[in-house]
Amino acid sequence: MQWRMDHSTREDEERECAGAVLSHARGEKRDGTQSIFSSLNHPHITTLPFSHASFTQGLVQSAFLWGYTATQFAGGRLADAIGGRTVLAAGIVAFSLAQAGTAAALGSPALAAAGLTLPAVLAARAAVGLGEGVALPSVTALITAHVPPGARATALGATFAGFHSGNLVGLLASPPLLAAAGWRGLFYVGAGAGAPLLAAWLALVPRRKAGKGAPAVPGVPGAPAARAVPPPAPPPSLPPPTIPNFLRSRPVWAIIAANVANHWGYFVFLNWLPTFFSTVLGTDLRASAAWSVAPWAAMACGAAGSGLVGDWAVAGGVAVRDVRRRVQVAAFGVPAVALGVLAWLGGGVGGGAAPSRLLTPPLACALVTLALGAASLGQFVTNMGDVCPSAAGSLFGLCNTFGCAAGGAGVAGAGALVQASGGSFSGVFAVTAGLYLLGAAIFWGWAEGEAQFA
Amino acid sequence: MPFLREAPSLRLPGQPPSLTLTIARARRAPAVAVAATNPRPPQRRGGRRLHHHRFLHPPHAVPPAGSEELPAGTAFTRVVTPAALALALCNVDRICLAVAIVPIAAEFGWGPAVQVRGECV
Repeated sequence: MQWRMDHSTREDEERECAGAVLSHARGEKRDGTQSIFSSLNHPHITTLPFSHASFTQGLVQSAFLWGYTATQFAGGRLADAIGGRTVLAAGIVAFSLAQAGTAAALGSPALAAAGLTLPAVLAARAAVGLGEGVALPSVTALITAHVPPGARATALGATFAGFHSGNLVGLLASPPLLAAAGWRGLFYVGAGAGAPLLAAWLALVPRRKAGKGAPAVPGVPGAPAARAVPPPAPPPSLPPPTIPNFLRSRPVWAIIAANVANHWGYFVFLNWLPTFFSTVLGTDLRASAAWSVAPWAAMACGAAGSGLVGDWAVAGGVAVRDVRRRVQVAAFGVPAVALGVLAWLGGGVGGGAAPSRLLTPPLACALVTLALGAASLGQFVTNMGDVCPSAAGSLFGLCNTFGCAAGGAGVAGAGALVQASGGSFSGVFAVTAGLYLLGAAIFWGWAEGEAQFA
Repeated sequence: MPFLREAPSLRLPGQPPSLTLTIARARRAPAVAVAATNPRPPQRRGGRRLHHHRFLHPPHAVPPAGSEELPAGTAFTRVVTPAALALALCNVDRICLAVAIVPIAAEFGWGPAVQVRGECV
């Protein structure tokens, strides 16, 4: 990434540019100020009580996550009831205001005088989480409602590609914005971008039809009276899509298992890999700035490819259940193998042994990129629309609540594992690979392709 | 292939609505009956070319009654694109804190213990 190197002469910009995914692994001091990213994730640094730091870090980090988790199911339920258009429009307003509120809370002299700056920032980040929590359930509900079944996986893949691209754009655009407008400007630009997005959202996304789900009224022009391809007659007694019925359904648990394994791995990768690169591989972060971009790009491509593969296979005559199961198992199998290699080369489990000389930073980066790209090929989100087309938002919210909890547990659990094994990441990689395999096995055994709920 | 011969007539392009409904209702039952007794799903008919065609124009082009389905192209313009942009902005707003925390922490004198990271899902 030559362009990054170009403007890395100034001290501040240099830190900002490195402030991407990899940045907080950096431990060295610059201009007398210890990088705030320095020792949090460094189990090696014994001068900092690791458990205390990780506890505080977990508490603060969870501010966003509390809000985000809290609105998953509620957002999905609401999207199923009143339509994803309205719910996500409200979400855009909420998280944009909260984004501006973050800057306002940080800049408020009154809050600072009262010593409440930090709690106010935590509240603002939680509010951002509350607003963003409705986004994925709403989108899932909207796509299930508006996109024909044969194109749903492609549509979901494209939206998830947008999801991952947002991280990419944020990481790449934030440093120059920060240099140009300061951190206040960065927050206000993000908040301001909500206005055109909201306008485009309301202008483009179709309104919910009145009486959705009711049988077509005879005589209404345009009401489709017959289908070219009649749907398979549903079994007479499908249970309604309620939480108890969801939790009694094996196909739902297959999705939950895949969601949990996926989120655990995703969170662990995002939060701990920088530390792994820095402490185990001794990576020079400035030289490897581009590596923070590769996994995100791989995830965006993987998500888009996931949908294309899924719809292509179904259109080619493969049963929906087989498509979902086979692609999902491949999407877990590849990262499990990649993580196995990382664990094997990355040092003996439990001993904190030096990593193999075979494990160069480029190889590690390639393995990680391969793992994340493959994992985002997963079909479990598309499968929510298969098993519960009438309330996909609710199902997404329920499953993603488990996923978020697993992600939080993954971050904390990885810290404990690394600490217990004297700084070796092999245990973390092995456990994550094991979870991928477990998720793959459960999904293979229990996933279904047909609607399970009325 | 009685089903394939009948299928195009079900849509009745250009017919007045009342006529459409009358004829379509009259033909609905036999069409469903044919499909129900046919052991092979109708999606499997045709060769590879047809599969590719159906990938671009899925077999549910005529949505079920009461459905809000849009044609695939319209859905991508009016639902998928704005949804992708909304999700992208979600993550931009979230992850920019991971970068901004560096100067913020310097300005406010926050130590590592109050690091606020934004890069979790």
